[in-house]
Amino acid sequence: MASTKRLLKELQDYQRDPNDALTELGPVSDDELMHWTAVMKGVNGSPYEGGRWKLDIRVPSNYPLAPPEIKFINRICHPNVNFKTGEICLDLLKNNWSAIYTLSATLTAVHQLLTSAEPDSPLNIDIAALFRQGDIVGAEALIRFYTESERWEGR
Amino acid sequence: MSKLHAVEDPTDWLNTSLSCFEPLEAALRCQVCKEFYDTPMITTCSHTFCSLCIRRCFNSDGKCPTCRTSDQADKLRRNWVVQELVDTFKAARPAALKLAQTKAGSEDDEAERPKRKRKLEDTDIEEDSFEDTRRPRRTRRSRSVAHGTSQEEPIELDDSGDGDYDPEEGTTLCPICKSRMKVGLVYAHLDLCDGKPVNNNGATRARTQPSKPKEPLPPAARLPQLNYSLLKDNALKKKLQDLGIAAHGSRALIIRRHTEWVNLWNSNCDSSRPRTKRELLRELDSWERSQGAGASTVPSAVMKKDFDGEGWAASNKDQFDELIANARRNRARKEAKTEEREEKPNEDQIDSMPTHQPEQAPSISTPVRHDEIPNPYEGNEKALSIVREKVDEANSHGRRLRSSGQPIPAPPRDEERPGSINEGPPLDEEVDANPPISSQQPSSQFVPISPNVDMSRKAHMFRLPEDPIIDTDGGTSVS
Ligand SMILES: [Zn+2]
Ligand SMILES: [Zn+2]
Ligand SMILES: [Zn+2]
Repeated sequence: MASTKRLLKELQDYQRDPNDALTELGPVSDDELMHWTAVMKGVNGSPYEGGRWKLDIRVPSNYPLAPPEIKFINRICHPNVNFKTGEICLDLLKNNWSAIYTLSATLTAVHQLLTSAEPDSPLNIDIAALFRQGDIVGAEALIRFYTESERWEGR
Repeated sequence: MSKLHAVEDPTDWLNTSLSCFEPLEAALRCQVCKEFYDTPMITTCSHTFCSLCIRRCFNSDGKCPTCRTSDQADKLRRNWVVQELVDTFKAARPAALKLAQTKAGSEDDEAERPKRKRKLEDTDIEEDSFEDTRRPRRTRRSRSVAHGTSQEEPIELDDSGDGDYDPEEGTTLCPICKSRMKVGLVYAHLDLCDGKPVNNNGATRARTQPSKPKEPLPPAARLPQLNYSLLKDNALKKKLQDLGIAAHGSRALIIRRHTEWVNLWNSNCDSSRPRTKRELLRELDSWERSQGAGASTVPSAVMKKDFDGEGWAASNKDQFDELIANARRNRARKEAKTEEREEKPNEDQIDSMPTHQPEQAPSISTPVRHDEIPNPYEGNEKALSIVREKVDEANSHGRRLRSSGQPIPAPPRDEERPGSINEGPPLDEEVDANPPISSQQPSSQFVPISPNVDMSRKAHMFRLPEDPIIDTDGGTSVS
């Protein structure tokens, strides 16, 4: 049970050596080792500052050969995140996946996506268009608005 | 010591007097399975993985997991030195860890002494030596390991050597088959678990004890990969039957089963401690169960079912529960801290920070319109009015927003090259003080999980002034 073993190890690792980008990472319940959840913090000094997002993490049975499926639960305004479904467009989660990435490391990459964008693949056309037009003020205001109003208050 | 001990991990060294052993142990572990290397093989790009791990990876995408160089299984070579390093480190680990943990606490902890003395027994170590008293035994063990009679048992040994080991306390249920066993054995058992309950510890020990082959070892001839597209269903089934493995199921399942069998078989050929065909068949069976009865594309469905039973999770004694409970405690503690911090934003910091300036707008080559296009501010008057307000403000008050004293030049649409950057004209002194961040450099926010995570395709949306930029390639930093 390669994935079970690795997930147990990852769980223990996270507990001993937490990820600064997160306030939570672990299985959703005691009996679902293949379904995890996380809470991510915003990036200080960015329009996402002060935000909190809940993420849903589905681990495939052939993990780590295949990547986890990660989605935002509460809304986030980002060029590479589908505003309605929370789907994330990140090559690391698709073609560029490698078996050496852990869930925690993968979430670090998602966290980094908050301050950068994959130019090729916008999932949120509106915010991407604002950036493209150079309307940074508008884009930031919009992001701040949703960061605040959609903030995840649960655990 | 907590039961977490059962999952051996480099982090075991944290908070001991030998915390420097954490990276050492991490270096002796395969990056794919995070276990100590098992039959380490080196690729053409000079990266090392367990034989089975790298064979599975090559089947999955044909690339080295570390550097993504294309490579293939028949180019793999054994890495004997790494094997020896792992074997000797594993043998030395329990004693070294124990020593490091003791030292981290109190050097003169008298309570520890009698325990240690009990273990002295037949050895002739001087009493005041702080060397671990079990070293002579370990030495013998390490030799036996080197001779290939045993592996992966330090946990078990540790338990039996512990004066405070409590047999009642130290058992747990396997998450898959729900068999009760010693905590230290669960982890190794997961390799072999086929979902059928185990009545005694015998079966769970199979891997941890010298395997006496009851049947001849498989010949060392490696199996070739098949070109499945050239084989009709019946011919394919015949191949599996000839190999002595199950030939039922959908074509896709049969192909995956054959692939896994070739991986198991060939990695066993690589091993200095080859297992019997029966053991390999058991492992194949275990693999098949974890794949979800032929529908492995549905993630976790079968695992979930396995986990739903009354067994593992129900027990408060389990290790998994404890891990989760720990997570909750940590989370609560961390949240408390975070809240504190969030309540008092650092005004100075905010003031001294230039407002975020785009490196460039993401250059979008082909905006794909989906059916459900998200419109974040469609119909959201509040958001729209905030946006308008900010834009007006910026336009009428010049540098009110600091970053936007002048209309922001539209990023040049020069090349559609991903990650191309617009360094733009310097807008003011503050910006000068923060030279443009090249999009070729990984952002400081990113803790590299491997040296080669390709962040070069990403465009920075905002300037992030607070941290120096770490160049993970060269190790230089620009502030
Ligand atoms: Zn491995
Ligand atoms: Zn490589
Ligand atoms: Zn089991």
